[in-house]
Amino acid sequence: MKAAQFEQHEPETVEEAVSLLESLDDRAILAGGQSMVPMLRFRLAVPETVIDINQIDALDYLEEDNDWLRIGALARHADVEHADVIQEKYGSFADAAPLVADPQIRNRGTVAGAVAQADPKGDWGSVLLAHEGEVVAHGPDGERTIPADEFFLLPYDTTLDENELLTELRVPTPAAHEGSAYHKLKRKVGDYAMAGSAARLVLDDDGRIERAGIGLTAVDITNVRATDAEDHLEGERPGSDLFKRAGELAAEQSNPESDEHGDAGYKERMVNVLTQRALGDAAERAGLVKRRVTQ
Amino acid sequence: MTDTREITLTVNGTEHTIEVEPRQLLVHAIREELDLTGTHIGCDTGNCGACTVLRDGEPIKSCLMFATQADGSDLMTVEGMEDLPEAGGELHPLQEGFREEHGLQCGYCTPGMIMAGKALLDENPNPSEADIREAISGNLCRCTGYQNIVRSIEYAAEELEHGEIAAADGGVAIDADANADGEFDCGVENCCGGPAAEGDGDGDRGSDPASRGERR
Amino acid sequence: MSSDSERFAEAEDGGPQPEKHCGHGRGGMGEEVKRKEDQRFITGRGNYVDDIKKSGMLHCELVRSPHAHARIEDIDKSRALEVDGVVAVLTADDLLEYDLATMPTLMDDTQDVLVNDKVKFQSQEVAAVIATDRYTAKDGAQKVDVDYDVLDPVVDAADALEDDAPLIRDDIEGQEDNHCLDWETGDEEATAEVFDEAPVTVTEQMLYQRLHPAPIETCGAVGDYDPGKDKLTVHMTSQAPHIHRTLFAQVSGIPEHKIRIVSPDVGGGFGNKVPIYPGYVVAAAASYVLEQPVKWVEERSENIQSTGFARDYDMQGELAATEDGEILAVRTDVLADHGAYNAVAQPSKFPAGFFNIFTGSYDIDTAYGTLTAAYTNTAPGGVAYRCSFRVTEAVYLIERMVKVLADELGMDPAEIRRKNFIQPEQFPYESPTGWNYDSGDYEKALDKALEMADYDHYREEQQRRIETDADKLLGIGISSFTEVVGAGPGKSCDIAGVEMFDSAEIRVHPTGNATVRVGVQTQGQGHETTFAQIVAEELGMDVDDITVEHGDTDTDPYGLGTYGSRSTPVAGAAAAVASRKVREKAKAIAANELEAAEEDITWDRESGEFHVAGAPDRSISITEIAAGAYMNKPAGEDPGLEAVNYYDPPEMTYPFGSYIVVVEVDRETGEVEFEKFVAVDDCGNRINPMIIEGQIHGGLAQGIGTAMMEHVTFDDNGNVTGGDFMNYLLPTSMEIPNFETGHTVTPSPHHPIGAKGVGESPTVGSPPAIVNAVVDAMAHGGISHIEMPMTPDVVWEKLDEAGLAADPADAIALEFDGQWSDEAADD
Repeated sequence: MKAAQFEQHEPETVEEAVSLLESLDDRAILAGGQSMVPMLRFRLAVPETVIDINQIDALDYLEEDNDWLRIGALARHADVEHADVIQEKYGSFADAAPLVADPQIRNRGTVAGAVAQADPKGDWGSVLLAHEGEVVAHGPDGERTIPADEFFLLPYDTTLDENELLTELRVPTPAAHEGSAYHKLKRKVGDYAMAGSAARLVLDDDGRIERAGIGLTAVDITNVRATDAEDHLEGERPGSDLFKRAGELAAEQSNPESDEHGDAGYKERMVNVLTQRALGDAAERAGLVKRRVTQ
Repeated sequence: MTDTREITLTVNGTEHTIEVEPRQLLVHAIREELDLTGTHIGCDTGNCGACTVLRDGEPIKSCLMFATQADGSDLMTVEGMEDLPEAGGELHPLQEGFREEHGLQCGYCTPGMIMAGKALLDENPNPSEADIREAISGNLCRCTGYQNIVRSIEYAAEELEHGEIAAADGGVAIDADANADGEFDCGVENCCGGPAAEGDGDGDRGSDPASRGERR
Repeated sequence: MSSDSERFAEAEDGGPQPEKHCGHGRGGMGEEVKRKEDQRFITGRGNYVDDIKKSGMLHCELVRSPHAHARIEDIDKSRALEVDGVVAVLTADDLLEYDLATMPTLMDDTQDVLVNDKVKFQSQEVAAVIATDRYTAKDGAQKVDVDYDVLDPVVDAADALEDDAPLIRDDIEGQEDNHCLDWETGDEEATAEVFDEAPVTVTEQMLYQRLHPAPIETCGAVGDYDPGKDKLTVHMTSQAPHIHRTLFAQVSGIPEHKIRIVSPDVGGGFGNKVPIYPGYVVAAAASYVLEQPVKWVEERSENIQSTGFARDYDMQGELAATEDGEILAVRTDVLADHGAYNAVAQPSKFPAGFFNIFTGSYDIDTAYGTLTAAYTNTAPGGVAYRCSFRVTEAVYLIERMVKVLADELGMDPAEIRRKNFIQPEQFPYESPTGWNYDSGDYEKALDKALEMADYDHYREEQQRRIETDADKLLGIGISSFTEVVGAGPGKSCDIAGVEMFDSAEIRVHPTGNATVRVGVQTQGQGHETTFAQIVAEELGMDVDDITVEHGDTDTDPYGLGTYGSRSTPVAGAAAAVASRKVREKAKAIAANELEAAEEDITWDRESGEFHVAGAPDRSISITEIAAGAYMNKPAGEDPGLEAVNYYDPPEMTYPFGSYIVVVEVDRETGEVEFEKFVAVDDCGNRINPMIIEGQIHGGLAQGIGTAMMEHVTFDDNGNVTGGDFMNYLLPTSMEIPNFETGHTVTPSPHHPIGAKGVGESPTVGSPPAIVNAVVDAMAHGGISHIEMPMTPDVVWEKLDEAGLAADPADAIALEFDGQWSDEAADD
C-alpha cells in the first residue's frame, strides 16, 4: 500500500509541536508509527499534514524519581523491555513489553503512542490502569495530567484535547510491598490480545491488600478497570480463594464481544483465568507470600 | 505538485543523498532509489519482516517508516554483509550459516532473517535457541519451518566465536566443521548408513550440526 | 514419448537399484550437496519480479470492488486521468476492444479480467490505472469513480444452495442457481450394503477451512512488449511458465512464438502461482497497448483477498467396521465452495482433484463419495496448496475418521492402523476408487515413528495426568498418510488440454561441463541443485560442473510446471532419462577414444567413468568424452553431446509416512503446545537428504498453521475479515517447534531413479496428526472432533464441553511467609 501525499513537519520541541497542532487542521501525529504508518499506507488515514514528533529529543526518556516512573512520549517498547528499573521493580511492565508485537516493532513503536491510540486490544492501557497511572499532556494552555481512569473514552478515542500532545505516561513508584504482573493470551506472536489482565497489589506490613489495581485488555470498548474485583481484594490477605472470586468479579464486569479473537463467553472466562494468574504473580512479587510448589 | 525533500542516508557505509516524497516508505527508497533490492516487501501491515534492515544498529521494519524519518541514519542491508570484517572478504558467517544449515528455500525472507540474526548476534554473541527464536519472531518464513534458520544463526554464533578465539590467538580463523567426523547417510536403503543398514530408530539428523554429512 | 526401454535404458544398472546408488563424492544421488542457488539469495542478489527495473517502466494499480456482489452502473475515469503522472485507465470496455476482457480459468470457466457488468467477490478487479510510479498509480486508482448497485452477497456454500439465495452467475446461460457441479466416485450400492450390515459405524462432520497459500512474495508481473521485435515478454511469478504462455496466446491471439514468459526467482508458490490472475493479463495488455514496460505487483491484502484460496471442503466422513477394528467401507459427502468462478486448479478431468484417494493407506474394499460444489461471492480458487489436488482434504478425512473409529472401539490408534494397512506384498495395489499405488511399507514407517516418538512413554504419561487431574492434558496424534504425486500420465491428466508430461534437456559442452534446462520451475524447492545431482549421478560428472536453468519459455523445453510435487517424479525422471541418452552416445565416443568395440565398453557408476570390460585401467571420464564429441567424433556419429527427454510418467508416485504429534493442552485457557513432533517420510530413493528434510520442516510448519490458526474468514456482508497478515495468521518461529525427522526408503518401481515427490507430504499428512493429538487429549471426556483452526477459544469450548476445563485457583497455591500469625492462610 502506498500512502496519499501529505506535508510533513518535524518539530523539535513540544511547544513547536503544540503550535503546529493549533495552526493545522487536518493532521496526524506520527510517533513510533507502527500502527500509524499502515493506516497511512492503507489510506485509512489521509491527513493533509503529518507531524512527526521523533525529533523532540526531550521526550525520549524512561526514568524513575521519588514519586513516579516516567515514560516519555518517545520511549520505545524495547526501552521498557530492556530497562533495569523495569526488570527490578515493575513486574507488569516487564511482563507486557515482550508481549507487544515483535522485536522490530518494539524497537520503533512507542508506549505512549500505543496508549494515545487507545486500541482496546492494546496492552499498555491495562498496565497503566492497574497502576493508577497518569497521562501527561501538553496543549496550548500548558501541561495537564489526566488520570488513566479518565483517559480512555471509546475505541481510538481519548479525553486528550484535539490540540494536545501526549508527552508522558507515569505511574507511582512501588510501595514497600508491591507487586504487579500482566498476563495476555494471543494466538501468535504479532497478534493482538484475545484477552489480557494487568494486576497490581500493594500489601501493608500485615500482609493485607491495601490497594489493588486491575486493568483489562480487549474485553470492552476501551481498556477498563475491574473495580468490583479491586474492591473485593482490598483489606484481604492474598490467597487462591480470594483471587478466584476476584477473577470471577473481573469477568462479570468485563464486556467482551465475539469476534475473530474468540467468542464473548470465552473471553469472559479468560478474564477470570488471566486475572487470577496475574494476581498470583503480583502477590508473589509483592513479597510476604510465596508460591507453594504443586504437581 | 509533489513536494520532495532531500535526505541523506548512509547505507552499508556509503552516503547517499536522494530526493524523496514525504510519503515514500524507507523500503521503497532503499529498493528503488538506491537499487538495493535485497530488502524485500511481503506485506502491508508490518507483520512479515522481509523488509528488516538495521538502523543505527537496531533491526526495524523499513516498511513501517518513511524514508524522511531515516534522514541522517546509518542503515545496513543484506548487501552490506560481505563488507563486514567478519566476512573476511567473502561471506559473512551468517550468510555462510544459512547456506550450510539450509536456512533458506525460496530466499525471499532470507535477507530480513539475516539482518534480524545480525542484530541478535551483535547484542548477544551466545544466544540460546529461545533467544534466536525470539529474535526472528518478527520475520515470517513460509518455506523452512524456522528450525534450520535457528541452526543457521547458531552456526554463525559458533563461527564468530571461533573466529574471535583464533584471532585472539594470533591464528587464522578456521572452519569449525573442518574436522567434523561426518556420518554420511545418502538416504538410500541398504547403502552407506541408509535405513536398513542403520537398523535402528534414530532420526535422520541430530541437532548437532557437526554430526552431519557435509559437502559443499 | 518415452518408451519403457528408454525409461529403463540403464539395463546394465538394472534400473532403479538402490544398492547401486551411493555418494561417490561428486554430488550425485543421496549426497547433502549445499544448494547452488543459495549464493544469490544470501547476498541479496536474487532477482524477483519486483526487483526488475526497466527504462520507461510504468506501474499498474488495480481498482478493486469494496463490495462482494454489485452491479457496476458506471465507471468515471476522468478524475483519475487528471492526476499528474497517470498515463492510462483501463476498464472492461477498453479490454473488449482487444478481445482481452475475459480469460479462461483452469477449469474452462470464463472470468472477467476487469469486471464487465457485475462484481462477484470483494476485491475483484474493476479497473487498472497505469502511471509513472506506484504511488501515483494508487493516487489515480483512488480517483476512479465507480458507481455500484450493491446486491445481496452469499459467502457460504450451504447458504448459496438455498432456494432464495441471490444468483451469482447470471452470466452463464441457463444457470438458475448457485450450483456449480456434482461429482461422485466408488460404488454407492455396494457401500450402502456394507454400511447397513456393519457391526460398527462412525460418522463425523468436518470442515477443512478456507486457507491461502500466502507465499511471502505476492504475485506480480512486468509486461514488456518490444514493438521492434513484435514480441511480448512477461516476467511473472509463475509456477508454470509454459502453460501460462499457451494460455496467454489463446487469450490474446498473439502467436505463441511471439510470447516469452520468464519466471525469475519466485518467493514461494505453494499453488498460489499456478493460476492466471487478472493483474498478469492487465500488465501484459497495458504494455502491448502502451508499448512501454508495465509492472504490477500485488499487495498482501490483495493477494489473500483475490487470488486462489485452498481447501474449503465441508466433509462428512463415515466408516463401517468390525468390532475388532477392521475397516469395511468408507463413505463421504462433500460440500465444496468454489468461489465466484470455477477456477479450481486441477487436471481438467478431475473436478474434485484426486480427492477419491480417500481410502488412504488402508486396504478398504468398498468406498463411495459424492461432492457438490457451489458458487459463492468469494474469490475463485481451490488451488492445490502444497499438495496434489485435493489429496490434503482426502487424507484429513480418512486419518481423522480412523481416529474417530479407534476411540469408538477403544482401540489404540496405532494398532487400528496396523490392522488395516495395505501390506507391502499387495503392491502394486489398486484402490476401490481406481488408484494404482506403486509401492509402500506403511507399517515400517509407523513403527519407526512410534519408536522415535517414545510412544509408550507418552501413553503412560497421558494416563498419569488424567489420574492426577493435572493442569495440562497430554494428547498423542498419529497420521499414516499416503500422497499421490507426479501428474500425468498425460492420458489422464491435462491442464487446459495440454497433457501433463515434463522435460529436461542436457547439453554437455566441449570442456566437459553441462547446462541442463528443465520444464519445471523452482519456487524454493532447490531444483538447481537436485536436478544437477541427478545428472551428476547419471553422467559421472561433478555437481559443480552442471548448471540448471529453468523458468524461461524461450530457452527451456516445454513443461507443465512445478506443483503437486511433480518436479522430481516427472522432470526428475526426464533428467535421468536424458542423461542416459547422453550416456548412450558417450559410450560410442568412449569406444572410439579407447580404441575398443562399443560392446566392450561399460560404465562404472562408482567411478563415473567408462572403461573397457576387463581392463579397468583403460578408462575415460565424461570430460574427456565431451572433448571427443566435439573434437574427435567417431566416423558416422553426429557431433555434439546433447539430449532431450519429454517424460510422460506411466503412473504417479505414492510417497507416504507416519507422523506422531504429542501436545499439551492447557485446561485453563485451551492453549496447545507441541511437546514432540516426529515425522517419518518415505519418498523412495532420496536425491538430497538435506533438501528433503528442509521441505519436510516447511510443510510441517504449514500444517501447524492450518491446524492452529489459518483461516480466510468472511462477515455476512461478504467482507473478507481474514484478508491480511494481521488477520490471516501465519505461524512464527515461536509457534513452530523443532521437528524430529526420520525416513524409510521404498523406491518407486516405475521411476527411473526410484524417487517419489516429497515436498507436500508434510502439509498433507500433518494436520490430521495435530487434530488427532488435541482430540486425543480430551478423548476421555468424550470429545471426538475439533474443527480447525484450533485456536485457544475453540479448544477451550471443547474442554468445557467435556467437563475438563480447569480453574487456576487450584494451581495458584499461595502461602504466607509467616510474618504474621493472627489468621491462617486462606488455603
